[in-house]
Amino acid sequence: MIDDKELIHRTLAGEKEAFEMIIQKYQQPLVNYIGRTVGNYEQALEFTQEVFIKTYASLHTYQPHYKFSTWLFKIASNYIIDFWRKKKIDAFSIDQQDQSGNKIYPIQIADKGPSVSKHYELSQLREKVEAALQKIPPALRELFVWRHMNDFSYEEMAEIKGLPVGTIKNRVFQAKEMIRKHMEDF
Amino acid sequence: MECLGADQIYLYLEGELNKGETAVIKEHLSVCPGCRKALADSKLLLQTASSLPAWDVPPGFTQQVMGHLFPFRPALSQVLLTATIGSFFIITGLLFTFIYSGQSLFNFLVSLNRTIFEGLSSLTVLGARLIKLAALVVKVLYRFSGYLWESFGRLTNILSPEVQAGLIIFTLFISASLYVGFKRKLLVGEKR
Repeated sequence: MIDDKELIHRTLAGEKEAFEMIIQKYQQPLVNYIGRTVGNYEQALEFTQEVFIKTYASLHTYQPHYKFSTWLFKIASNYIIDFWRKKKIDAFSIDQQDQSGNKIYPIQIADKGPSVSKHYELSQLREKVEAALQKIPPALRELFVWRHMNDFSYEEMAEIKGLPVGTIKNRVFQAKEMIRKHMEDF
Repeated sequence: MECLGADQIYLYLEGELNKGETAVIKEHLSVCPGCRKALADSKLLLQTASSLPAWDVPPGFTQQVMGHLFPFRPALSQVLLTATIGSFFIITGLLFTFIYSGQSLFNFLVSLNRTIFEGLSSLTVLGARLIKLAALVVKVLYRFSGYLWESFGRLTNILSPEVQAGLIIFTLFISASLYVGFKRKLLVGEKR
């Protein structure tokens, strides 16, 4: 497979097919991330297209010492944040409570209460995770999706968000705990 | 050792702890059923999240994005090529018609020109007639309005202001009566 930096170099040299290869490589992870973060398929496709258009327009500003996927997802993340701002969705106050008004959990001793699994089938569990994911604050949801669906490392996520690794780990942990609590409630 | 924090369990599951921390946690898990249950729970959550099916990308999505990035604009060479091919087909068609009609090339071209010329001249004549008719209508309307205006002027010179005022009131009264009369006529049979 051709290296991302090589594809960017070729694109900047005017080879359209090189950018087509970039789209083919990243469309699936982007649609997955954007879709699960905004919770709407049509919007996911529209936003993904816009992200690729923005990426192409600013490709000359890309600095090769950054990992391309990190840079691409940073553009996508900023696009979604702009969308939330325009829609006046509060995606940023993650330190107090989630969308249902539940408090965000401090780091605590492992919960030994009723199991989230109970006796559910995998398909039922998946449905519950999907539903719970849409109930947590968008900013935490984004990080959870990156970590557990896009398989990003904490370091990559910290680079995208411009935050310390410890902060990212703590937020992903909060997201997991909130999802687990929501699953118990279903 | 006290029981594990939820964050420790997640980091342990994700392999984010160093060897020393991992060993301590493993030791605690071997003696604490409660933490083992919490570990199993967290593991299930992460496994389920990781196994969620990916959102589909529709076929043709790449081409759609490329279409937005690079809208199709035919190059000059493509336009010239299309024009050349088009001209070739027209000339070939004309030649076939000429061969099948059995006329000489000169006669064929003359008859073709004549047909085109006759069609154009018929259209020109029709257009000219329509313009002439429109001009006539405008002329008649202009004259009629002139006579009307002149008659009205003469009438105002003959009649005194009082009579003119009376005539205006009378005209208004007649108009109002006609309006009310027509309205009633139209409302016949309707509920009041």
